[in-house]
Amino acid sequence: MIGVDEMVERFRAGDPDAIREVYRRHAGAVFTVARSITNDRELAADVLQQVFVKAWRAAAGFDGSRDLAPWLYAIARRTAIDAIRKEHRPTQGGHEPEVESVVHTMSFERTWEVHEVRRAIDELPDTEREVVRLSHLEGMTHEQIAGRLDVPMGTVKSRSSRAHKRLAAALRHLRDESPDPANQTELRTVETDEDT
Amino acid sequence: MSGDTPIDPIDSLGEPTEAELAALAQLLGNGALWHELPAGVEDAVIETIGAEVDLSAPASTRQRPRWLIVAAAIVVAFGLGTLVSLLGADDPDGPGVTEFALASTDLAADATGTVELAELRNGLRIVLTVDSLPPAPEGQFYEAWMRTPDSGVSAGTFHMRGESGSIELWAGVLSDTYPIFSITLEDEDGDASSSGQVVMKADLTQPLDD
Repeated sequence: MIGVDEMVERFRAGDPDAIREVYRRHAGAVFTVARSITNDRELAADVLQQVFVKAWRAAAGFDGSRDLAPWLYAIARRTAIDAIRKEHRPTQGGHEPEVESVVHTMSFERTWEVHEVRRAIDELPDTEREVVRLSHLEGMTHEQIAGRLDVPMGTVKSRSSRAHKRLAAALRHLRDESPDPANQTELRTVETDEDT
Repeated sequence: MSGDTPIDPIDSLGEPTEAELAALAQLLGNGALWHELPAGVEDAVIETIGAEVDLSAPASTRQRPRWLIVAAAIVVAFGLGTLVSLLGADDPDGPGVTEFALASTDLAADATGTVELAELRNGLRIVLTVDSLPPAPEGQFYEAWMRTPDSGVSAGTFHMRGESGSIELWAGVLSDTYPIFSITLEDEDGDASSSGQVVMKADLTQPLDD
């Protein structure tokens, strides 16, 4: 695996291997932010692509000794909000007086939380991730998971225990971060054109 | 023997508290966390960046297909006459100039004017001749746009704080693909997107001499 400094340096240079490495480490979290803000799979896919291209274009100004994740998160959130603004301006080329509409977006802290949780999920070993998914997303019991995966129930319990240890440790920093109340609800004013 | 047993780093993490487990249970049921990545995006990112890297590389380091070199030689050999004739298109009063009427909106009801377009070698030259378009208030400016029904490209900004008259602007796109010209009033707020406050407009499919 490439070290972060080297990976960022090669990412800046447009090295396809480094771009793939950055994408594979961070795309899940970026996509989760994009989906959470846009509520649209196609739009979120566009945002996902734009985020990594924008990041590459801006990489010259990035300090390679820092963590890429918060930087990519900021780009993802801004890009997703911009995508919503464009979606709310369907007659951009028409010539209409301004009509204001308001879009409610998930708060900065909430999107950061889902970003970090998705990162933590993506870093789990595949076998542990699947147990967590079946348990929390599909609501299955350990016994049902054991049947689905065709493994002993002790194995399911062990994987679940280890996964929860990893997740709790990876997400402990979220409890220490105090959200800014000013960002709890973000309102965006969106301009649209209308025919005159 | 304990010395032979590898230490699992997970053992040092400690057990999650009840509060942590409850919080995890609440967080992990969010379906947005489990969406699979859309297919093809990773390759699209690589291709897009690869294309830009190639464009930004020094010309001497880029590999060109042999057919392109041959085609370029043919153009050089036979195209000089055409190139010389195209140089005449730099004259904005030459045959390449097309004039369109500018219509005002309720936001500048008294304004009148025309817009002339000339497709020159380095872009689209735009000459606005406007009358009674009020000066943009402090903190605001006018912005010209080449548009389609779905998107727009800025063609420059101005403020009209002098006298009515001609303003020269340039655009890097052509009216064939952007058939609407508009002028909007914008705030100096750092937001590069259109405010949507259209003050004048022209249909570039309807030249005045038609």
